[in-house]
Amino acid sequence: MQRHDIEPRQGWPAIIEEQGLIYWRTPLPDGEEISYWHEGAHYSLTSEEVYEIEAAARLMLEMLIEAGDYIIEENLFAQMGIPGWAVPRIKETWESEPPMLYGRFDFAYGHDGVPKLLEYNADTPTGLLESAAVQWFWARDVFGAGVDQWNMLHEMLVARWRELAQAGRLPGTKIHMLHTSQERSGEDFMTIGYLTETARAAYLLCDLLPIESLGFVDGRGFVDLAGDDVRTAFKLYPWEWMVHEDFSSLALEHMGDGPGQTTWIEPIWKMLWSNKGILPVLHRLFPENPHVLPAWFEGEQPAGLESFVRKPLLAREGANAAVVLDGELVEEGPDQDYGDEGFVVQTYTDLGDYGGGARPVLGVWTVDVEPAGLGIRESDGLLTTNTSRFVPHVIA
Amino acid sequence: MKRSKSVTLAVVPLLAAAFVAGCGQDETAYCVDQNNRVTDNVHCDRANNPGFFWFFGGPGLGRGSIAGAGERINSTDRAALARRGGFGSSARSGGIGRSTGKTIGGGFSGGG
Repeated sequence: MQRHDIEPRQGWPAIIEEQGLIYWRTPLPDGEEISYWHEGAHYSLTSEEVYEIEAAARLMLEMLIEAGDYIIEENLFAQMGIPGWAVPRIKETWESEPPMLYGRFDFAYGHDGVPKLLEYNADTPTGLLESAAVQWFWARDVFGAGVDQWNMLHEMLVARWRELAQAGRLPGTKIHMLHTSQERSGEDFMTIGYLTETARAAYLLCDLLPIESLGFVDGRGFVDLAGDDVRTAFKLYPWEWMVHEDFSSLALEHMGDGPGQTTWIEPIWKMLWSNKGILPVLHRLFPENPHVLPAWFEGEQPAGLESFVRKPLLAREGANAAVVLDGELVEEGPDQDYGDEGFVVQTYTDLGDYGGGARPVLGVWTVDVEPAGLGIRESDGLLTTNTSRFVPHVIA
Repeated sequence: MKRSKSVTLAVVPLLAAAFVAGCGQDETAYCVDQNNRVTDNVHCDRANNPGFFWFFGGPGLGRGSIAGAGERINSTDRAALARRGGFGSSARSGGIGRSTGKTIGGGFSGGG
C-alpha cells in the first residue's frame, strides 16, 4: 500500500456536500477547523493486498462467532460491562439471528503487511457515506470510469435490504430509520439518510424519525409520531446507551417480529462484538493468530508489558484511550467520560508511516457476514480520533 | 472489478440540503407550570401531576423562563401523548426541554 499526494478536484467542498458529506469540517478545541475529508492525497493498494485483507476480515468473522459463543458459555457479561437485564435478550437473539446489516473492522496495516485487528464497530459504525459513495464518486471523477476501488458497499447494502425483505424478515409496512437529534454536525443524520437511500433502492418504504420521538403506547408497542406501529427499526444509537435509558425494559420486553413487537437492526447481540472486551476474548481463543493483537482485560495483562494501548470497554473515536510506549504515556484521546465499565489493554502495534507522518487505519466494511469494502482514515498521531481524516483509495 | 457498478444518490442530496438549511431544527417540548414557567421535565413525567403542561416551541428556553404563547398539552393527557423521550438521554445532558422529533416546517420522510 502506498500513499500519494494528488491535486484535489476544483470545488470539492460543494461536490462532497451535494453527496451528503456536510460534516467535513471538524472544529478543533482552539477554534480552528480542519477538513475530515482529505482528497489532497490517496492510497493505492494492489489486488493481492486487497485479497489478503479481505481474507483476514473473513477469518475474523469466523473467529468472532466462536468468541460470541465463548462469552456466553463463560458468562463474561459482567466483566464486559454488559448489564444483567440485557443478557437474556442477547443470548436469545444470538441464537435466533434477527436481521443484521453491517459493521466495520478497524485494522492496523503496518509495514509488515499483516492486517491486525484494532477493534470491530459492529453496532453503530459511521464513516459509511464517505466510504460507500463519496470516495466512489471521487475515484470516478479523478481516474475515470475504468478505475477500481475496493468498494462494493452500495451494491451489497441494497442487495442485503432486498434479501431481508424478500425473506419476510422486516416486519411491518415500512422501516423506521432512527437518528438522534442531539448530533449537530449532520454525521448521524446523513448516515441514516444514506442507509435510507440504500433501502429505497431495494424498494422499501422508510420513515426517518429521531430516536428521541419514538413513542410507546401500552398494549400496543412502539409508535412513530403519526401513531403508526414501529415494527422494524434501524438505529444509529448504541445498544450500550439504550439499555441504560428509560425505554430499556420496554424495548427488551417488546423485542421480536410479532404484533406489538419491534425488530431492531442492528440486533442487541451486537453488544458482544462492538464491546472492546471482544479483543481479550479473541486473544484468549486465538493466541497464535497473526491478525489478533495480544490483549487482556485490565489487570490480567502480564507483568512487564511496556507498550500498549488502554481502551475503555465502551467508547468511540479514541475517546479516553491512552497509548503507553516503553512505560511512558505518550498520547491520550479526548476525555468523554468513558471507562466506568472498565478497560482493556491491547499490545501496541505501529500503524506505519506512509509519508508525511500520516498513520492510516483501514476500515474494512462488512455487510451481513461478507467483507464489502474499504475506507481509510489517517491521523498524525498514534490514535485515530475524531480529528482524523478520511483519505480515498484506489486499487492500482 | 471490486467497485459498485453504479451509485445513485436521490434522497441524500435533498436531506443534506434540508439539514444545512436548518430544517433538522427540532421542536422542543418544555414542561411548564400553570404560569408557563419552564420547569424540570420530571414534573410532567409523573403520571398524576395536574397543573403541569407540555409546551411546544423552538429550542433555547432555560429553567424558570416564561414560555410565550404556544400550544400546551396537559401533562396528564395520556391519550394525546404516547410516552416519548425514553431513548436519547445518553446523548444529551440536563433535565430541561426534550426534543419532540417534530421538525419545525415539516418532517422528513422517504418512500420508495
